[in-house]
Amino acid sequence: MDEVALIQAAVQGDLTAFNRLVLAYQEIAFNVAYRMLDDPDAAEDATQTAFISAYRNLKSYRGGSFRAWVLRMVTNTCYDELRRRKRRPVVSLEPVDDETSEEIESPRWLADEGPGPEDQLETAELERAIQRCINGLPEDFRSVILLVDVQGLDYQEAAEITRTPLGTVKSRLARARLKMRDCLHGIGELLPSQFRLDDEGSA
Amino acid sequence: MKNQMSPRDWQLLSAYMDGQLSERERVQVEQRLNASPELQENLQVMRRNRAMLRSLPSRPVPRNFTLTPDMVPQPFRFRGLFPVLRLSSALAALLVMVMFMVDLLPGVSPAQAPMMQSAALEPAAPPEAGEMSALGVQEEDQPEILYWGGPSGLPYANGVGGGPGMGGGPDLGGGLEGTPNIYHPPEVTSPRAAKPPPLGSAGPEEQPEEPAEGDPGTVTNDAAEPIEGTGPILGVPPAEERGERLLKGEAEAFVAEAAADEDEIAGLENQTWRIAQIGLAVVALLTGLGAWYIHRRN
Repeated sequence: MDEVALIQAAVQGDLTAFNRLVLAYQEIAFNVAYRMLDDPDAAEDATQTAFISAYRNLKSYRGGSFRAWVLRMVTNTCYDELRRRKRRPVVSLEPVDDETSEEIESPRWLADEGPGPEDQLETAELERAIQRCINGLPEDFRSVILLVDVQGLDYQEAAEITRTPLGTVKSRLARARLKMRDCLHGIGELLPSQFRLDDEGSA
Repeated sequence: MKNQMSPRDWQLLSAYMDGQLSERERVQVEQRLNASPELQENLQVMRRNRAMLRSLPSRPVPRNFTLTPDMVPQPFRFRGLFPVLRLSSALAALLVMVMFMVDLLPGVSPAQAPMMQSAALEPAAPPEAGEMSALGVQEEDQPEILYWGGPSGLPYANGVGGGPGMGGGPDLGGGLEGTPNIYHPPEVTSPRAAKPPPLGSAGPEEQPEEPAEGDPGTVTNDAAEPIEGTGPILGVPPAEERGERLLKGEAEAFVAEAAADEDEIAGLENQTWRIAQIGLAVVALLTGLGAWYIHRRN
């Protein structure tokens, strides 16, 4: 059964058909939520909430990219969660560096990401560094750069998901990239060799 | 590596990297890239960062996010009523509006028509003094002139008797001189009959017509005894007019009662009309709320 038929069946109340769509898009949905919230548990909750919301609002789907429509539910749920966090800030159980106000990445904590050889540790550290840069972006910039640069969607789909004009997507993406460039500039030593520029090798 | 580019240049470079520029813009950016090593470096950094972001590992989902029936609301079992309720609400609201519009139209409203009808049945208001004078109606404050016996010697008595000359006599409407004035008290004692006959209209053959049987305005007071005396007496109703006055009172009472009945009927019809309006408004409201509730549940 193709996607259109599944969507039509789901609109008629066929939960099995909708669950097949869930299985098709749950990975990208969870990863977008994870990168937006930087918390696997919160991302899990947000993904589930987004799929429930999608099922309830299936009648509002007016065609087009179903992936974009589902990801819109995900990003909206993440925005709600981020706003909730701002209203009720929580104290992390992880140790925080008093000077930088950043979490201290102890070996024990990093081991949760996957203990193993040294290169895996470096990769995990790089990922954490990139994620910190992503977290430092404004919400609107964060969603655009996650959709286009991380997930590889085109501008049009990003515009549909964020419900903004194409020009706004271009503008936000350029500014997000500018901020990411400034943020990633200081982690040259963490970069794998394939990502190093000529002048960053000795940094 | 400091940013020496304007935000506009950076946006152009970002879109150029993603292939989102028009052909003209792309050529312009490429010309600038060839002339500016700084621009080339920025483009290189941007490409590297994008590659890094795209290389972020995809997290495996911790579990499936498929929905179970208890996660989603079951379809509301009365959802089939939604179109019925919606249509009913719309129709009821439309009818209420039409009824209110009918109320605004003079003479068309069922609530106004009975009132107008009853108003027509009510006894007419007493005419103005000028009208009464013009109609020759005797004003109430003037003493009534009553007749009985043979009012001989009265100037209008000639008119009553009339004369064979048909107005050719010396007196208009008068009879022949010397003709004994024989006054026939009118059996019909209607208000018009109680008035003196008009001048010149009298003649022997123009006697008052016999009242038609069953005429409510006709009273024959056979039992009235003849009253001795002559000439009119102001303010004293003759015996033969007592019945007439009673009849006039009854007629007025009858008219008043009929008007009251009509008022009552009109009031009932008006009340029914209002109840229908309110009922339809309530139906429109309730069915609309029901349709809205079902729509929300679905």
